[in-house]
Amino acid sequence: MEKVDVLIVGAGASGAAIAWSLAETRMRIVCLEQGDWMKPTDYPSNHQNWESRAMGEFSVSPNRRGRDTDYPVNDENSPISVANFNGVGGGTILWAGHFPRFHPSDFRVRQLDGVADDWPIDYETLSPYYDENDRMMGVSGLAGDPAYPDKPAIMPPLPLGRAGERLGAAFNELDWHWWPCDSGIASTQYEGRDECINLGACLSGCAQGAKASTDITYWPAAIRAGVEVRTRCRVKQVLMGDNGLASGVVYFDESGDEITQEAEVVIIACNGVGTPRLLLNSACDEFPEGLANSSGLVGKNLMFHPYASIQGIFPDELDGPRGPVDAIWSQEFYETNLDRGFVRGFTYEITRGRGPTATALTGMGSGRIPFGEGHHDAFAKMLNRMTGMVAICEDLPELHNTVTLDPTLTDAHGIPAPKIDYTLSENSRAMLDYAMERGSDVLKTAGATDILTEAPLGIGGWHLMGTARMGQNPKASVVNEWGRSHDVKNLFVVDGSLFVTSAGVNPTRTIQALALYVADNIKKRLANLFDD
Amino acid sequence: MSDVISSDQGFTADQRRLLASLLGVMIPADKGRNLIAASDDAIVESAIALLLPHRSAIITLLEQLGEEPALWLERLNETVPAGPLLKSAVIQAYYQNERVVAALGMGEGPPFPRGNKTPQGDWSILEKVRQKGKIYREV
Repeated sequence: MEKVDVLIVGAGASGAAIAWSLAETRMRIVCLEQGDWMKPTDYPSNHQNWESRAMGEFSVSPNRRGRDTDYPVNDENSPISVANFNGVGGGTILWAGHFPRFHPSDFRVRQLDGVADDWPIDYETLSPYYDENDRMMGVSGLAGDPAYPDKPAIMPPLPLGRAGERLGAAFNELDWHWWPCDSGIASTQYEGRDECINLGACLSGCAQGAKASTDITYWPAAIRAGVEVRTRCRVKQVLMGDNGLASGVVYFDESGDEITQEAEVVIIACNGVGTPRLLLNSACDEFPEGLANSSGLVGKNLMFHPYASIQGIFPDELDGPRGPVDAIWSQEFYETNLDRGFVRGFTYEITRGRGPTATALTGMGSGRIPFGEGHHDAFAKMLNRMTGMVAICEDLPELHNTVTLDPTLTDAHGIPAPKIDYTLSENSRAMLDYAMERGSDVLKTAGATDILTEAPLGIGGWHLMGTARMGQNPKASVVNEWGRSHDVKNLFVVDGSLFVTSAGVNPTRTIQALALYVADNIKKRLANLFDD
Repeated sequence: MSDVISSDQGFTADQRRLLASLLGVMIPADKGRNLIAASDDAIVESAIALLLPHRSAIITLLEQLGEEPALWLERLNETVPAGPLLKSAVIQAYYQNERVVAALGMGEGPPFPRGNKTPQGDWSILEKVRQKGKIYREV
C-alpha cells in the first residue's frame, strides 16, 4: 500500500468532519471504517415491521445487533450499556439528531463549581467551529434561546406538535425554561437533503434523508474533495516507527487479509470506547501500557450521560410516533444550584411519543396492559397518549470508570474487545432522582394521569466520553489542547474521548466542533506539526 | 406483515394450532374497534418467525399449557423464559400487522414514504420564555 499523508480511523461524526476540513490541503487522506455504507432503503421505516427491525438489526446495542461489522462490548459491570453504530456515519446513523451546544460554563467546572477540571479551551474558542459545523450538518432551531449565548439558526424549528405544545405550556405554568430544540433534522430542504416528513423512526435511520448523518452531510463533500473511504476495514493496531512517531496501522480488509497502511499522520476517531480500545491494543515496547499512555489515563475517566426517563399517560390523544422524535428542551436545571443536592445539572429532552408496538411493550412491561380480557381497552388508553422527556445528566470524570481490554472476549478478527467498568456516582444518583421528581411535576401540570419513571436507563450509553482527555499537562491528559498526543507527535484523537467533562447535553455537536478545531490547528501548523 | 419471512419449520401442525389458540386468548378480537384476534393466520406466521430461534422453549411451554384455556394466561406468567419471549413476539406480530395498524388509525403501509402530519402547535406560548431573559451562567 502506498503511504498516505493522513490516515483517519473511523468514519463517524468526528472522522467525517476532520476529513472534510483537511481535504482542502490536498493531502492524500484515507479513512478506514469497519462498517458499511448505509442504504436508506434498508432502514426500518421502509418496512411494515419497522419497530421490530429497530429493536433488532438496527438496535443501538452492538451486542444485540450483532452485525459482523460490530465488535462486542463487555459491559456486564456497568448499569449502563454501550450504544453505538459501526458504519459510515457512525453513531449519527441511529441518533435522534438532538443537537445542543455546550454552554460557556461547561468548560470551567473547576473554576465555577470546584469539581473535576477545566478544559484547556473555552466556548469562545469553539464558537466559530460550532458555526461551521452547523452549516455543514444543517441545524433546525430558533434563535433567541435564553439558555445560550446568541447562535445562528439555519432552518426553522421542528414542529411543536401536540406534545411540545402541551409540555411547553406546562413549563410556562411552572415558570421554567423551555425552547424548541436545536436539531440535526432538516425542517426544510437543505444542501441536497429533503425535509422531514415526520416518519417518527429517527432512532433507526432516516429513510427520507432529512436527518444529518455524516454519510449524507460531510462525506459526500469530503469525497468530492479527494478523500478516500475504505469500508469493512477494521484496524487492529497503530504501529510505531523507529523515530518515535506512528508509522501507520495494521487492519483487516473485507477479505480478512491483514494489511499495513503507512501514514505520515494518524487520526483516531473511534468514539470514547473504540479509541481507548485501539490505543490499548497498540501497546508496544515503547508504550507497554498502551500507545500514547504515559499518563496512564487512556481508558480512564469514562463518562456516560446517565439518563432518567419520565413519561406520562394523558387522557387525550397527542402525537404518538407521528413526528421527529424531539420537539423541545428545557435547561431550567442546567447550572449548579447546591440546594438541589448535587453539583452541575441536566437538560430535559422532550421526546414526542412511540409506535404501537413500543406502546404495547411498555404497557405490558409495566403491568398496565394485560393479556386477555381488557387488553384492548388498556391499550387504547396508552396509544398516542404518551409523551414525556429524558433527562441528560452531567457525568463527572472518575478514574475508576474505565475502558480496558477484555482478557477473553474478542471480535470476529480476534482483536480483544473492550470491557467497561462503571459505577454511578452519588452525585449522578441524586441528579437522576431530582430530574424524575421535577419531570413528574411537569407532566402532572400538563395533565398526565399516570407517570412512568426509570433511571438510569440501562440501554442509554449513547454518549462515550473522557477516555483520552485533552489538556496541557502531559501527566494529567492524553492529548494536548489541540488534540495531538503528548507522547506521539503525529497521532491525534478527535472524538468524545477528548472531553475533560461531559456537560449535561448530547455531545455530537461539540465532538464535531472539536474535530474542526483540531483540523484547523493541523492546517495552521503543517510546517512544524511534529515539533514540541 | 408481508416482509417477515414466514415459515412453519420447527413447529408441527398441532403445535401451530395450539399456538394460534393461545395467541387468540392473549389478544382476542374486538369487533367494536374492528380489531382482529392474534390467532389470525398472518399474525401467527409472524409470531412463529420471531419465535423460531427459541423453538424448544416454546414447544415445552405448549406442552405444559394443559387442556383449560382459561388457565393459559396464568401458566404463561409462570414460565420463564418462554413466557416473556412469547409475549414479546405476539405483541410485535400483532401491532405491526397491516390490518391491525390500519384499524388503529396509524396509516396504511410502512411509515416511509407515506410520512405523517405533525401540527406546528401554538408558537405564541414561547413569549413567556422570551420575557424571562437569559439564564445561562457567565464565565
